[in-house]
Amino acid sequence: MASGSQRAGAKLRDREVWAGIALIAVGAIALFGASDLPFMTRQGVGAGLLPRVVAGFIVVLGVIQVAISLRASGPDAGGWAWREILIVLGAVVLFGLAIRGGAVAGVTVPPLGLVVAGPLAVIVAGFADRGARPGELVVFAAIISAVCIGVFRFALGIPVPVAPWLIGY
Amino acid sequence: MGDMFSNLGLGLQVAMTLKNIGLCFAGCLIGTLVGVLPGVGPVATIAILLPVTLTLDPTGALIMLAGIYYGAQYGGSTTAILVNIPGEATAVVTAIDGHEMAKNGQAGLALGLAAIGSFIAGTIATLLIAALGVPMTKLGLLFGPAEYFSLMIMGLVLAVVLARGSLLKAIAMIALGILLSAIGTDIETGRERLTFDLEMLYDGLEFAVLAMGLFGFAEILKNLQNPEARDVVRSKIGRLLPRLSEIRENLPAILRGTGLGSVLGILPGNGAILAPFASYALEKRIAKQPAKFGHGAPAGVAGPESANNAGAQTSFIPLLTLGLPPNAVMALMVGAMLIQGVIPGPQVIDRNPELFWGLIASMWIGNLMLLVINLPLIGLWVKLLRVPYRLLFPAIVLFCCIGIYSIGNTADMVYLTAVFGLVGYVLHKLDFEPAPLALGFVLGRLLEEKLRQALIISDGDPMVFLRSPLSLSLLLIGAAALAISALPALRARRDEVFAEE
Repeated sequence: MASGSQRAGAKLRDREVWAGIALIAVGAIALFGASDLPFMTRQGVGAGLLPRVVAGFIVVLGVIQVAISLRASGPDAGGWAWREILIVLGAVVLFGLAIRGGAVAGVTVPPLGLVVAGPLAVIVAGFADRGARPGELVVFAAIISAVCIGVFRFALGIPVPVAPWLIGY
Repeated sequence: MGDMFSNLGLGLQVAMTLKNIGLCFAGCLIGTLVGVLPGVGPVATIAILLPVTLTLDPTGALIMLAGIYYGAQYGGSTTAILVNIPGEATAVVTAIDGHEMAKNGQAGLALGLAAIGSFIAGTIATLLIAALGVPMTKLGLLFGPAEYFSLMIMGLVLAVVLARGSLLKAIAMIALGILLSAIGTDIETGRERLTFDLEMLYDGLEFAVLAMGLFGFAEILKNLQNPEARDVVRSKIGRLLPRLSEIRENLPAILRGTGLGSVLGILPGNGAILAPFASYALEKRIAKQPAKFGHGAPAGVAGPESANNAGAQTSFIPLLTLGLPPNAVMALMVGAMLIQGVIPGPQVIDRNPELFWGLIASMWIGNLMLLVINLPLIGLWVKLLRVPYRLLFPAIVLFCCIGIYSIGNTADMVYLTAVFGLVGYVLHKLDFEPAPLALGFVLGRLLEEKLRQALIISDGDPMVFLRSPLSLSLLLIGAAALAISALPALRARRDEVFAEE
């Protein structure tokens, strides 16, 4: 596991060091967010006691983690799949925007329902795989969306909008 | 004893109505269908299918969810045996010898033994739940807020001890889970906490959102980055029903697995996860030909599968009797119960006896149904497994989106789930386990509530947790477990158990 490289540069990629830094960051953000909440009130435990104690604890754990990992050399964090993250989670956000409509960054989306949101999410997400075949994906998206509309809306009676602009629900 | 059987009789009466049998059947079927998908474990399956149960009455909904749970578990084992992709930690063990058997043309035997072993384990565990239900509930009524608080602390400590990898990281994940549970409007004081003025956080985070992001979307991102060589078994599935002699040969392994699984499953703090590993290690140790393990030993499938199912079943005990969910799956069950207006805890058995005993009886019926559904439908699952991942994962994304949207009928939850997908991926990259986080999240709110109640009763004196003998001993057990697990010798042993994969 431990690669021989002990250069300072290696520390910048060390997974264990980053794990500690991440804990410190999360704990610090929470400490900041909860800084105005009271610890104790006359009625007893205040809203801030648990979040602040736990957040402080996380910061302490992060510091210990960094201290430990700086002395040993841990494995590389490895490459990050930014392209896949962006596409898959982008598809999820698009689904959320399209299903009941909404506004983001000045663009207003009308409620499009599952008829549009379904294929949209499937097709966009599909392109996260480098071996995606557009034709196959479009056909598959249409079939799986139809199945979902049939199963979720009609067979199970879940009130998910289908096509409000066309059939009113 | 007589009480136990009259109670089970009441349960069977509830469970055997045509409607409830139908729901149990439907739950098992769709649970298996989704659980078979590679990379979709029971947590994600239940989260996707949770909305399906919202329109039902509480008893029906829980029966269906239990069916979904068993279906998802069995679906995961099917995938582990046929494709060597375990959908969750506990199926890892099944994949070792199960997949080897499949490659030797004995896939049918492996699946059959898994199903029969699970059924035997399920039957015994159901009887155990029925027997322990009433006394455990009485114990639960002895618990005041301070004792509950200490019990949860002990459960969380045990979860840390049982998690694999770094102790520090597991503790950090539990703390993070507790922190996330504090987000939203504080029920006691009405103050907004950690919402950073984002409207979508005012009501707090829904557990399904967290679970779907951490266990569903993050898994997809992981798989896309490291495409797993999927080798769906091409050789013949072979005979499904084991011969009587084969059952007799594996019965001891099944019974040992059942015993291990039942005991570990009752532990608060997700002891069930250890069950298959422990059973595999035990079988390998006492086998006449240990060298066969890893190359298709039937006992290496029958034992761990039984242990897994027994543990899955007995982990309902802390939930139903004490109201404490010991793992992420049970946490989702709590969510479903709350949506249905049932508050889990010792009072359920008195207030909703038909729900309590009906659920227990359906566990057994569900196990029987899995045997009936899965053996004939195996051909269908194999076909499903041959669908390439490039088409499967967009479909899973869509199922998740619809599932999450339907829980609250709002797109905000869909966006939050995307955020937790990213969080889950980062956790994976930094080698953090998401399971302790989920447990911390679930127990977080309860923990704070009991802390507050205990301190109000004691007039703000924190010594209340040490003054009650019950509370003190629970805390001491937790401290001892933590101290022991930090010993170097035991850590090596613990890594060995998890290294069986």
